[in-house]
Amino acid sequence: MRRRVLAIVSPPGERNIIPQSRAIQAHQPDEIVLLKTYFPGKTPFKTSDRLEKWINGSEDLMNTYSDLFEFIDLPRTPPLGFVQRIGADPPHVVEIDVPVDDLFNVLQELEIKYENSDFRFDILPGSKRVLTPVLLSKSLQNTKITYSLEERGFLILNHDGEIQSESGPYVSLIDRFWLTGIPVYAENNGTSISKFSKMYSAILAAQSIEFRTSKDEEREATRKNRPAPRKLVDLPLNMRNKSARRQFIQLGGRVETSSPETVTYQFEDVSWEVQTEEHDFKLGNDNELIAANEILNHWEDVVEIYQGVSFLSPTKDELKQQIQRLIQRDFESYEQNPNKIHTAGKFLERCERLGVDIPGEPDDFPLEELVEAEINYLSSLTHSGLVQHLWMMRSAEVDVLTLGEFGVSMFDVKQAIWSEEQFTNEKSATQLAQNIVIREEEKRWIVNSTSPFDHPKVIHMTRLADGRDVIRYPNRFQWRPTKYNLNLLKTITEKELQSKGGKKNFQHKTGVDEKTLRQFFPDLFNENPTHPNKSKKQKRMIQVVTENDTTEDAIHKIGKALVEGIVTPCSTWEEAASIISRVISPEEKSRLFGSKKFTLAKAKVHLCDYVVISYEGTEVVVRPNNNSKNINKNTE
Amino acid sequence: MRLFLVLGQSEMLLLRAIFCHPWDSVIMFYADEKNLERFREKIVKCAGALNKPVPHFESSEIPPLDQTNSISQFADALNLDSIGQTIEVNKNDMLFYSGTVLHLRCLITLLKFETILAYDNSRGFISIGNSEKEFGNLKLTMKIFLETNSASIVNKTKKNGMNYISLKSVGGKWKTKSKHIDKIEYSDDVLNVFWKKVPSSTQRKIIVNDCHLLKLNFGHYTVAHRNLPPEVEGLIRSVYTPLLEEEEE
Repeated sequence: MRRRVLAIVSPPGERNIIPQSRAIQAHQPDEIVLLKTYFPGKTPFKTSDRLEKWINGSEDLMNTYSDLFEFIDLPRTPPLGFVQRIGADPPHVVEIDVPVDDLFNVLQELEIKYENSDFRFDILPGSKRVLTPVLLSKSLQNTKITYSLEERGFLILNHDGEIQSESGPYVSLIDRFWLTGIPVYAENNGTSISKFSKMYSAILAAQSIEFRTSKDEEREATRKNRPAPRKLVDLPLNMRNKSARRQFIQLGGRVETSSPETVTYQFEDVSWEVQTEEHDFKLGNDNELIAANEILNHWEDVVEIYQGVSFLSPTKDELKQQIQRLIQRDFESYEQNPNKIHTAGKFLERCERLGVDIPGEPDDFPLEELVEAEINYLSSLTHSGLVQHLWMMRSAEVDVLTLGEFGVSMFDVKQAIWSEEQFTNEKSATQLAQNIVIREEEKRWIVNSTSPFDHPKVIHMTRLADGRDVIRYPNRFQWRPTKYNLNLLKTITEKELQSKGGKKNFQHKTGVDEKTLRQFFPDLFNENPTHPNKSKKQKRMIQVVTENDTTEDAIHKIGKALVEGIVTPCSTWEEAASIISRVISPEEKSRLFGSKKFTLAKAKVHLCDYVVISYEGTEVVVRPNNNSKNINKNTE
Repeated sequence: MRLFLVLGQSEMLLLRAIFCHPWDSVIMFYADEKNLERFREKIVKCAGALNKPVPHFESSEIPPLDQTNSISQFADALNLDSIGQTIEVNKNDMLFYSGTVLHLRCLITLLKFETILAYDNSRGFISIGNSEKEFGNLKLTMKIFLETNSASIVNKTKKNGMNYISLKSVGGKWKTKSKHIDKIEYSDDVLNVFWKKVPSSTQRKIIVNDCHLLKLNFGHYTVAHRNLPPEVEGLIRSVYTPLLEEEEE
């Protein structure tokens, strides 16, 4: 076997550290040639210290944070470090300073130097401007030009246009954070989630609506802020409802309420204790693992998953400052309302734990002493003892993180989102991670309530089972009730329809709006003509494209649905696209039209007998084709 | 001599490449028809603003490379059949270095491009490969930027006598609402919006909306916001933006 030599561009700064590590890991070379490019007039930079340490292995990379861990021995998930091929020696690293305009010449020389080796040049690291001369097909004939992938191996981009795929390992998400300067701790990974997978699935199958109780109202009355109006009509889905627990037992599980604030689920040979309340707040932490399990089981492109990822403060000084800030914040909450558990609880608990007396006058409070005592206390704890205090020592936390074919994705799991501001909250703890390694478009919210916001980034927990394709489905945010929950909704709806007098209040009773209930139970509403809000316009039946349909059948069904569905005199392309997506699934689009998307171009070609697609200004509009016989035929 | 380009995010640089030389024809590789139509209109407007003829324009669809189509899927799908028509590249043709490095390598090897048109800050547009030429450094002005994007800058005065700037579309379809734009400069294909100190959270939200409005109308890499407080920077990253797939389904 020939010696593998990988050359990559190593530009100044730390920004390329992830692409560089990805290329090195994917190729698992015997020799790495780092081409340290620099622009004329500038001096070459030193290669990233952390990249070198990562190549040496996990321990070396972690030691770059020794100052932090000597201060407090924080729990952490170690990076793997570079993983070499079995039986191969650690890679030899060569560094060459290269003026940007000489890159091609240097590579030509290297091609000759390594003519007896398997010489590769990976174009993932580096800018287009620098790489451009190398991209031309005739430039380097004996070099494999490659492009490393996120989730596996690399592509060989041959000179004749042919592309080969070569398998290889990927750089773990955990390593990526350590490399970029953030030590991390993850509560669970794919293996630990899999161990409880059946239980999580059973809980999801058993969950039901958490109806509002008088206790909720009492609790809310003690709060400074009034509950968001949506809270009354978008109800959580979870295991608090007794019938949900009964469902879980029927599925083979057991439930034990070990204390007023915890519940223990048992399923087959595993058990899970879940804290349900803290400081007079209801918790929905169990949703994170249930969501992670759904992604792990159904998102085929995902190769790595973590739940509960804490981004630890990276230096001793930052950690100290953070602890100080948080204690100050809790003290202020206590000062504002010392008698309420949800505002003062945390602070009082800390003072008791540290044995610090609270003086009568807040101005006399020895805050610095408390900070010192807290640091001493934390330093004395073991890893397992520190886990419950991690919230004080991290700069951000991500509920679920995945790595797959589409890169790194981040999920914020919420029981419910009742305020639209949640989507734009500048204090969002996940900003940090997003800024560093996660692209804006790969941050999503998973919610588990009856009527979430229709937001492009929201996915309903019950729809994660549709796989990654769900992000393109228009109904991705909507609850998909189980049979049991459908029956429950039906019972309430029936009762509501039959109630004499008064305004029917479907959403308050069910957490589901009337329009959706009509879709679930069209017959029920049709049978109740006395219902005052009964829509005069009956919902049209849409014929969905099935696997037995031909392309012609599909075009007819899509065309017919558009003619019947578009608003007079015309609809926008977005509205038309939404109708199309209700008629044909991405799989059928792929089968019949060669792509998972039914593009505007395709619509123009295939649907001209049914609709006219044109531009009004810069907007695309769709109107029925009045010259077509299909109009009359299909709208009768 | 024909110029080929991938319709990417840096539209103003693409326009400069198109008008830096009287190309026989401009051929655009695109993944989204709506974007292509929008860009075609900008070419026409830019030609008017520069007082140059509209180049002969052709287009060719390529697979998308986005959150609906991964890198592996893109690489699988990009071949001579998927480009959808027979494009014969000759020795004089050039491929501009727009799109990703993967786009470039794939198109170069598939269609046998021998020359790439690149941009260098000091030398302007230069060709690399088979022929090595310089094509000057056509610069666009703020006036041309605004005309091309059908936008205008309006100076306004608040009730208290303070001056502020607003950006709006010529047809009145959109306008910025914040009264905290201090000045606007245009350089190196980027519209630099300088913001004044923001006094309240309501004002911050208005600014965030304006930032997204500008991004939506001018493109992702065309607008740079200066002097924004960090929390607003954060909001700009995470706030709601319509997704590509929403346009298509």
